Amino acid sequence: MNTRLLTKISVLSLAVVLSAGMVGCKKKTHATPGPGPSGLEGAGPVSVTPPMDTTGVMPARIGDPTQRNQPPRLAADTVHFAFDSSVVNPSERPKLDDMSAYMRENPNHIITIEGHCDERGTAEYNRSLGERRAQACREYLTSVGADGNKLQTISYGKEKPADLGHGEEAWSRNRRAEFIITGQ
Amino acid sequence: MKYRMWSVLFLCGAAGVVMAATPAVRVIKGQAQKINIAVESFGGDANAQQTAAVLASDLVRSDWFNYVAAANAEVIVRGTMSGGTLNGAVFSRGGSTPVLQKVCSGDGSSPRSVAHQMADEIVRNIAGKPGIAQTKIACVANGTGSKEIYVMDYDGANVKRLTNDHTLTVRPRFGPNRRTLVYTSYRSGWPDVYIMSDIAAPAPRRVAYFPGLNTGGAISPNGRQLAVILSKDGNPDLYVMDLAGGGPVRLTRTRQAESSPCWSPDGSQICFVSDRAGQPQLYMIPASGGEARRVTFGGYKTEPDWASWSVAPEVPDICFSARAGKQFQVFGMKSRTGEEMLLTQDAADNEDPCWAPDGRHIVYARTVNHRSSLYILDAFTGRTIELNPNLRVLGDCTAPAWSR
Repeated sequence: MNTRLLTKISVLSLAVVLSAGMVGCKKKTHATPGPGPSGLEGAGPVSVTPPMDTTGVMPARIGDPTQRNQPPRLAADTVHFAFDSSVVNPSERPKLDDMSAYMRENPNHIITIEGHCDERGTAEYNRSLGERRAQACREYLTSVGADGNKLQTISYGKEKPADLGHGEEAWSRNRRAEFIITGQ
Repeated sequence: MKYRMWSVLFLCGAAGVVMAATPAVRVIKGQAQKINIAVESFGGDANAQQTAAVLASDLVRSDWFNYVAAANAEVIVRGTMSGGTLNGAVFSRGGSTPVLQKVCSGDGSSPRSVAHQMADEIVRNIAGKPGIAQTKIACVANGTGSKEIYVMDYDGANVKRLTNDHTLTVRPRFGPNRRTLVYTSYRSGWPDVYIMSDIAAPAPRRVAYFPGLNTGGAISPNGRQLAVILSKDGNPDLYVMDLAGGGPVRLTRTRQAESSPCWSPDGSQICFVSDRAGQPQLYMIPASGGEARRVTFGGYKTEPDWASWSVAPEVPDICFSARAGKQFQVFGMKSRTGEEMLLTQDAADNEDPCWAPDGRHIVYARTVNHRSSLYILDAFTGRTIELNPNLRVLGDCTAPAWSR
């Protein structure tokens, strides 16, 4: 009985943490005017489909994304994702902050963000999920001041795993966004 | 066990999902009535026996007939081959007047094509159902080291490679006729949507090549529109394009991933996948725009295909793949009621289902130990067979499409 109650409570708090996390995330990417810095007031109504802004519109394609040119610094910035998620975890934000610094130092470089998924699930859904992951990185980068006209995206879905293995270790390496230079 | 339910409720609640009761999942195991049929040896030229054998195989594959010895047959097929033309006739047992007579002489008049024509005549006139013997199946295979698109007869014979792009060429879907194919290729370096208006003379035309993702092309039943997933506006969303020209019209506006559209047989609705509620689920939206309506709840559900013809009320008309335990299985859903049914149940990942135009058979990719091959499911009986083991020389075969 006690353990059951405890489990319920821990599940409940997990749900609260999760929903708080989602609210925080929405605020970050869409700059929704909201309550104070504690963030927990956000337990109030949350818009499920925030109004679209036009900053997401993609620039015309530049360069050949198959010509891989990934300097070590960009390789180190590979962003990883949780299963079936395109949310940029707080642990991954420093990599995007570094990308944003790189773009300031190299303002002429066109960066292509590749979105990738693990092997589970169907190819087409993963193609959209991979694109969503690349777009989530693009949104974060533009929100911290990067020029969206220098950022394009491509999704390979589950077609190009970084690790050919089949366990969780490989999968977690494969759920990723990589950054390559396709023009300047 | 109770806490498990709680956790599901809370996690979904956090993602803003309205929980509905999970629909009952069951396996159809009804035995459809079959007609006992025999094909007597054909007279005529050297192709006669091959033609009879292909015809017999077609009748068995239709699943409307049991192939039996002539003594036990309710219906008997007789025929003569001459100069590539089949003179076929069907008799009821003991009858001396044919109940069906047909002269079949196709283009090229190969023994296989005249047998397929005769089989479809028999299925249409004796069983009263649309035949599938002249249909095609397309798929993706990786045997060349790249993913290319192949097309074959519905029984896995006459395989032909359609693309030579040396890259990722994926997700074929037929248009409303048996000749037009739409697919996604990375041949420009980017994922773009192409249409071949005649697979007999492959000349791909690039129809969607906006910045970002272009994929999931599905041609409307009237052949005039293309449902497609584009990310040009900053997120993968569902759009409809007029194939005669004009810009894409955006149907969804989410911050999540949309994918895999298919059309209702009357062209009024589009069924697609969205993970706006957390995990991927099926939604429907009017093709002219409007509110998207969620039609599946719970689990992980993708890749819908809507049958162009509904064979019987007890058979679902939408198929999709969904996670069942640790694996993916083919499911069906009745579009009228939302009732879901488990259609495959074996130790494999069964994904990417696509209906035959008879509304009865489904082709899908079955993956065991990371190797994939094509299987055919009879949605009436739940029986599954490998399409053709010879196809394994193509490598892993995935993402099949059946012509309408």
